[in-house]
Amino acid sequence: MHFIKTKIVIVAAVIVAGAVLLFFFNPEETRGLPKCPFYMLTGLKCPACGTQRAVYNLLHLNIQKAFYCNPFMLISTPYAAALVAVTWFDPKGKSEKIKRLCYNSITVYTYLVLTVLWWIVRNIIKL
Amino acid sequence: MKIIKVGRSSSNDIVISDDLKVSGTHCQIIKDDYGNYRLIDTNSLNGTYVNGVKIRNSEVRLNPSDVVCIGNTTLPWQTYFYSGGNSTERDRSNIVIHNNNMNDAGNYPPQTKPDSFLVWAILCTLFCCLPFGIVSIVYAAKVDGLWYSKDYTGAIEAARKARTWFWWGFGIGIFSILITTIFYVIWGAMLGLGAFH
Repeated sequence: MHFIKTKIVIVAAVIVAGAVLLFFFNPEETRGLPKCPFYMLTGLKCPACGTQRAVYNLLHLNIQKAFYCNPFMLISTPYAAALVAVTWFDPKGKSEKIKRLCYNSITVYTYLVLTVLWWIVRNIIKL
Repeated sequence: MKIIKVGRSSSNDIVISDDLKVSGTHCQIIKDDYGNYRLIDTNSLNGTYVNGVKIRNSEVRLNPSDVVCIGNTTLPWQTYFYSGGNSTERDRSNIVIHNNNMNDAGNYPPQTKPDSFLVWAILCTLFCCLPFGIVSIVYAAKVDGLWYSKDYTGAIEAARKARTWFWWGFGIGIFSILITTIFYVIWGAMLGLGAFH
């Protein structure tokens, strides 16, 4: 129980810090926010490129613009959140079924294929 | 009447110390005043097996030849009653069974499924922007399948590779993000100062 509280505090702190930072600083205008090394080196976008802009727009309630910045977040965020929840915040194994589903090979491979497809497609159609 | 409590917690008379399928208080074996044995499963998570038949949260009669299995451990319950006899001195001492037979033949699973590092692999792919995370996901994806097809060494090896690839991805990712960000800031500052005119 004690460890759970510590973990919740750490994860919440990271999320709040990131949100506050991205609420006040527009990533399109601010220098000094983390840059994607893959994009800087190759000129190609990585699957996660646009996340900062997406979060910025989301926090300013420009839902549509946020979606265009990185539509793949619609898949990634819930999956990553579910994984974090069942792995780190469920010591008694109450969500065993969801955990099995999240860790199932088919789920993981599907996510993997989607990631790679999205990576290729976004660089072809310049999303 | 004599009651023997069995489970993982040290308050039991028979303590099965390192078998994670054994509940804290798993079951009780009772010898009544007439010399009859009964087994009560005290709401254990994985049940108690008497001659291969699962008992859960209920009571059965035991014959002295019955084989009682809990988790991966076969319980030597008879010896406890026979050697214990009626002496009150034995009643307080508890037997600790270390479940050491799990690794030798490879048939018994190691205690728990290895951590596949899937969470870290995916967080790495999302936030560190590098293909290392993807390799890590590939290995992490294999862990569950291998584990449930009883290839325990394979599962452990895949989990280890997922972890290694994650740490490489994490290290190189953080390093390159720092370098590119610093470079970007300096370059921008120089542009601002008119260095390239």
